Amino acid sequence: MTSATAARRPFAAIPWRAPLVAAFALVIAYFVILVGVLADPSQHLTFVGAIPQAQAQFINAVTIGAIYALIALGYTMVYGIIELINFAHGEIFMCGSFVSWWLLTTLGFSGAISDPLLLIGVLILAFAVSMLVMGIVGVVIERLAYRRLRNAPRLAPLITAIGVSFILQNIVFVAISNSIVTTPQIIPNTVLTFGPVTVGLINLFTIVLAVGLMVALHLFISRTRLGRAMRSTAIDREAAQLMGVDINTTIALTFFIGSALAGAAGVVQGLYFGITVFNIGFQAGLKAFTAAVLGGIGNTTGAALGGFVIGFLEVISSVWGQGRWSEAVVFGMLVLVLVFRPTGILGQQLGDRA
Amino acid sequence: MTIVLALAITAVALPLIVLLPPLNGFGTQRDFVGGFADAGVFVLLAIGLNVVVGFAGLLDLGYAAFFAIGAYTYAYGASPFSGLDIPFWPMLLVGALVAAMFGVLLGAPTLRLRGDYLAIVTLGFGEIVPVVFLNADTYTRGTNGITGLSQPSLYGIFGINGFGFTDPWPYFLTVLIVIAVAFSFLYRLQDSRVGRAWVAIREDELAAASMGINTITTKLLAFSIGASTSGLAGVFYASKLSIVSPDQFGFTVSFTVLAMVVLGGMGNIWGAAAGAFIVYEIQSQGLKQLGAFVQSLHVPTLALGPVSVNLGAIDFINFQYLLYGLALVLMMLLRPEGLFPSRRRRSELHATPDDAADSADVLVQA
Amino acid sequence: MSAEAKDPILVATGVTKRFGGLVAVNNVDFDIPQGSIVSLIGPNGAGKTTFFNVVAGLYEPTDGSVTFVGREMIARGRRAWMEPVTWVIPPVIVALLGIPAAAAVGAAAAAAAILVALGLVIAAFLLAVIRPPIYDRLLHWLGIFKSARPNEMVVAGLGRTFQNIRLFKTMTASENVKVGMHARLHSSPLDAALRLPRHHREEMDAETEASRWLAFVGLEGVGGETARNLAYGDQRRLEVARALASQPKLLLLDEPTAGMNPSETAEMMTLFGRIRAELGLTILLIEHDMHVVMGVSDRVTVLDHGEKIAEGTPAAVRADPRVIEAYLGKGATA
Ligand SMILES: Nc1ncnc2c1ncn2[C@@H]1O[C@H](COP(=O)(O)OP(=O)(O)OP(=O)(O)O)[C@@H](O)[C@H]1O
Ligand SMILES: [Mg+2]
Repeated sequence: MTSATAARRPFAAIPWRAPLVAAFALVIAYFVILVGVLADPSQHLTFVGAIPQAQAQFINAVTIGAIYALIALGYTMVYGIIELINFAHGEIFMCGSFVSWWLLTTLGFSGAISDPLLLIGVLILAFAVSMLVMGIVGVVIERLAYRRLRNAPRLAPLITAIGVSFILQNIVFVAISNSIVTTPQIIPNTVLTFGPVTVGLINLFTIVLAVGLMVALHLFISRTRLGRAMRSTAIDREAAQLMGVDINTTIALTFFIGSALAGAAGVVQGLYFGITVFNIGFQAGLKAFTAAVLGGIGNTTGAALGGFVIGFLEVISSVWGQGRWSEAVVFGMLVLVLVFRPTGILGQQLGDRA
Repeated sequence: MTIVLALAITAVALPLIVLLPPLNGFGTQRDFVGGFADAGVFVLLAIGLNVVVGFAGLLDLGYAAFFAIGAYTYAYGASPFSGLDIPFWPMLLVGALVAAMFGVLLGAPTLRLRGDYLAIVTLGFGEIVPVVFLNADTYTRGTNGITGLSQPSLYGIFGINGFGFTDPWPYFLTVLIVIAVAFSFLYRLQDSRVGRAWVAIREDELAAASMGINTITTKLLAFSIGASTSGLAGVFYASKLSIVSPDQFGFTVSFTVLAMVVLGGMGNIWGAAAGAFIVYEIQSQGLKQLGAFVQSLHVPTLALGPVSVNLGAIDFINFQYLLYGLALVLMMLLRPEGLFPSRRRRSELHATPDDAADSADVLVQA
Repeated sequence: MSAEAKDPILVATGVTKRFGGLVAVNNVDFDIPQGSIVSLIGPNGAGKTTFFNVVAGLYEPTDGSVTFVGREMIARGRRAWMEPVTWVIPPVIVALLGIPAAAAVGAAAAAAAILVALGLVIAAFLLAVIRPPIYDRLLHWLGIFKSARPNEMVVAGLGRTFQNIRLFKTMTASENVKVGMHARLHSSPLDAALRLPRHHREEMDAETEASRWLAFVGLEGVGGETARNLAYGDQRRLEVARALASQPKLLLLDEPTAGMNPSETAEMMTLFGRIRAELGLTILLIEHDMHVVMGVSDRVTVLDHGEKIAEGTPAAVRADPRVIEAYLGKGATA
């Protein structure tokens, strides 16, 4: 028998209770944010005065969560299929943000685009280019650095992945910029109002985009032939091979999709925060990895969920005036999850063979 | 004995070699000796990490945390900030013990995890520890760091009192002695009961547990021994610089040391030490000289999209992490056993697919 | 044999192991009489190896328990949540009594009391990690039960081999055997680091003993050979030697003759006999080769789809229609 664990179902469905639990968690999170805003000694807000701010922070959390979720998907897909923590994945995200920065500045944009048609066109272009480029970069990395080590002892690909991450980061460092770069925020700073709720256009765009990509990914994995190939390779590589699945193509495809999603997250990073820097990939990668583990590594739904949890954790710790501890909070969370429930929130019990 | 002899030869040979051309053109003997003392810090770090990664096969990516803990221990033990002034020599031991204790504390929750999770959790700890030193500023003075740490002293033995800042020789000799002690201890562990247990765990944790090895305590031991070596290095480093601040202990340090161990040869303590020395010298001397050399060539600027390269203006020091990254990847692909492999590791890393499939089974929970 | 000697060395009651939806072992009762050779057979995927792994402490059973040498070793954890509580109790006592008392003396004393309480938390936590016997006894006294880990089963007297050979491939044969002796050796890392004579002596003795074990299984003179370079049959034998080196009371062998030719198999059978006769061990054997099973076993137990379907002397089991059906499919008996 091989190392494959038959009990693992990498792309498992969400349990039916999930929407209820999620709604409950969101309400709690909202109140935690609200209390944090109220308790802020520098503002002295009344309860009513605090509500808009809490709302804005809540939406901020969902937006940041969406970015982490997009990155986390790549971690979880790669782990699901070749059991490798792809340390370089955070750097793919970083490179994605630089690709879109380069594209937008070369096209001569520096601020908001008011013409809606032009805006849509440029956005599509930016996402298409960044996702395509990063997807290809991901595939190239897999081909050059990881493929040969597929059967090597576990330490080898891990160390290679760390090496690749430093290579990417430092290519940007030496060749493009060693400090913070301002990226054009082409989406206008408009605020939309839906009854009592106000949402920034950029937030709405990010959330819709992320959810759209996730749904597309889900449909791809569950409905298409290639998606089935990915699932079966993840469950048992050898068996899938015997059934006629082309392992190399499937793994390359996984890297392509995962990296493209990180590339999309990179574009969003630039649009939403207006900056990027050569070393954002490291922290973002760690947090997104935490998200993936939180959701049960190898499980795409879990990764998306975990991303939002991390987004909330981060925003809550900054609302409570502890922003500088947010990393410690996230890693503390990672350790707790790994120690007490290594299979994550949605993960199943992993068996092990002897 | 071989070890002491080898280090004695090093102690005599290294300072003499730098007097020969072309090395004497790059700097004075004094500069070189100071550089060797710093390299010694990395040698210590590398042989310690080699216990964790090379012997026990645990990928510890937060190794700099223990370096930081050792250094801050010295800062608390011997600086105006704490008001204490405990001598350097006992502080070496204290630093090692404190670091070992934290090795156990940070290691304990992670050791039930499979190998790659362990890597990421140690990475997380490696990030948190400097953040704690940074943010708990009432106790650590935050970014400013703790300054004015006492210098080591020999209290008049050999006529040496405080080591001072200007003379690198006492530091050089001290680090050699510390290395000699740590090196021979670690070297002897290889062929002992616990050394075998480490190899067994590295090769097949499940089988090791089934042969009566308590995998938790054995891994914890590797962790704490590695941490204590790192603590030693931290105390020495802090005393030499006379200042500690959080930014000295980031992930790049852990990464550099890992690159040193991988280059030198995981599992081979001589290799790790040599790797550390070579990498450190390349980084501190080689890149500088390369920069000067390229500058003298006057290469025109190249441009490609967002990437523009002006070789003449390049500070090659900036390339060090790029080079480490390349080194890690190339070593893993082409020569995973390192430049100076241990016999055992070579056969292990060139495993056939069949072997690897077995060793990939890792105990998730027992 | 006296009645006492026939007391079972191992008793499994109602052992069940589930993997997700799959019931690999279902409510199996099983005992192994002292000094016997008992075989476990069944078609592929019947759950034999899984049962082994439960007994060896690798898997916590979903249900049921295993008593080994008269002590309950393996079962679902009971009151496991209480264990962390035991780490907190001593510091809480110290804090409740010590801090007010110390505060009465002075602020510095109170601070010291807090530090002591903290130190106790750490100490208790370390105790829980290292688990000395006294800690286990405390847990037992509190009604807390934790299933034994594989290494604890070895210390209790259980040795095993694996179905797919799991030697330490880059170690030499004799190093492999010395790993098997691990739990019986005592030299500490400090002894080794200081090269104390005691460490040296123990290593020398271990080396001699390792070659004795190698000779016992018929591998004289290969002590220095790297395990992966040994012939297949020799690797299987080395696994037996490694398991014997822990001086177990019960030896679990998972398909020890798989992939061997008839003459190697015959040698293996002789070895089993010698293990029982010369070392007085009890053996639990998983085997597909019916010739081996019928030849050496005192008793045979048959598993199918995780359930025990038959048990008895080799001859009786061979004649059992349910066994024939399990092996040959429905209709074979008709
Ligand atoms: N770690 C695991 N995770 C999930 N399922 C497992 C695991 N180990 C075993 N199984 C399943 O449990 C069932 C029993 O397997 P087991 O290995 O115990 O059979 P066996 O009787 O030893 O068969 P064989 O004769 O082929 O060795 C099989 O269906 C197997 O796929
Ligand atoms: Mg089996």
